[in-house]
Amino acid sequence: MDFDELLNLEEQYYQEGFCEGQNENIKQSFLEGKQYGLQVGFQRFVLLGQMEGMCDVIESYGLHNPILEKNIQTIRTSMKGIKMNNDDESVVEFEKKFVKLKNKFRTILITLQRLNKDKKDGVLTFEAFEDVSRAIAGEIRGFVENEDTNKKNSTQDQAQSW
Amino acid sequence: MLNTWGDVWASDSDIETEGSQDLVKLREKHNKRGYLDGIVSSKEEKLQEGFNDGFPTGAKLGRQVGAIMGILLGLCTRFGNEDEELSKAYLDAQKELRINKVLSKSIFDQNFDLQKKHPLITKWTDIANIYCEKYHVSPV
Repeated sequence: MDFDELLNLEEQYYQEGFCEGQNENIKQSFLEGKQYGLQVGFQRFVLLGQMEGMCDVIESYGLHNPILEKNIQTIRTSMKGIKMNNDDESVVEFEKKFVKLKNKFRTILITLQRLNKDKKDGVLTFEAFEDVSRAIAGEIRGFVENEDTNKKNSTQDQAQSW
Repeated sequence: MLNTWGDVWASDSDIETEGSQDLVKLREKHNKRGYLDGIVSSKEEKLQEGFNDGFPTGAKLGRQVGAIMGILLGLCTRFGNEDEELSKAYLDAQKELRINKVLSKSIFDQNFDLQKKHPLITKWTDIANIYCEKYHVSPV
């Protein structure tokens, strides 16, 4: 075997290895990203769902307060149009709506506190309400425990740039 | 003399074996080098693709968990003092519906897809609906 042949062979082996590595990488990276997408999707929508559920309960109180009812209706309508994917427009729209939704919901809780002043019901502040979703989902971009402790944390490193 | 000749002229099969062993080593070496370069290439793009694929499912699960928590929390705020079972259900839900439990690998298949209804969501939707009926809230 002469020198050129040897070089060609080295190159060929390198390419074979490269393709194998790339295929494995494509599969692994996709799944790694998917797992992280599941986490972030969950974290982004917990509080929204919580507001939705709480609105149902507040309506059942039967308080017949027009402002309260109007605010709940506004939240319902706004939530209907929210897209739950990670497309650029969907994310921008979500961020915009989410701030408004949170403010609206905050006023609902304040109204509720005022209406229930004389009763012995527990008082629910927006901060306490938010804490519940935080306890469920962790901080956004927070580390999520995984059963597989050997798994490398590269997804988390990636997260910083997203 | 014969021994010397024997040492110098190895048989054909010997040469072949030696040669292919070198080739195996050569292949191993360069294949590994290629593999390592291949496995770190174009990672970002695939990560993003996977992320976008998983996001909607995560969002849906998060929203469902949130709705359950919102209902139990809302009912607890008003009736928790008198309804011990409700209070307990709310505390249990807080533990069982944590993100690491809901997104536990064992619930998904190896491609991180859900093959059937999510067992924890199903369980807690049913529990929440019991209290919805009790306190006249529209069901989850």
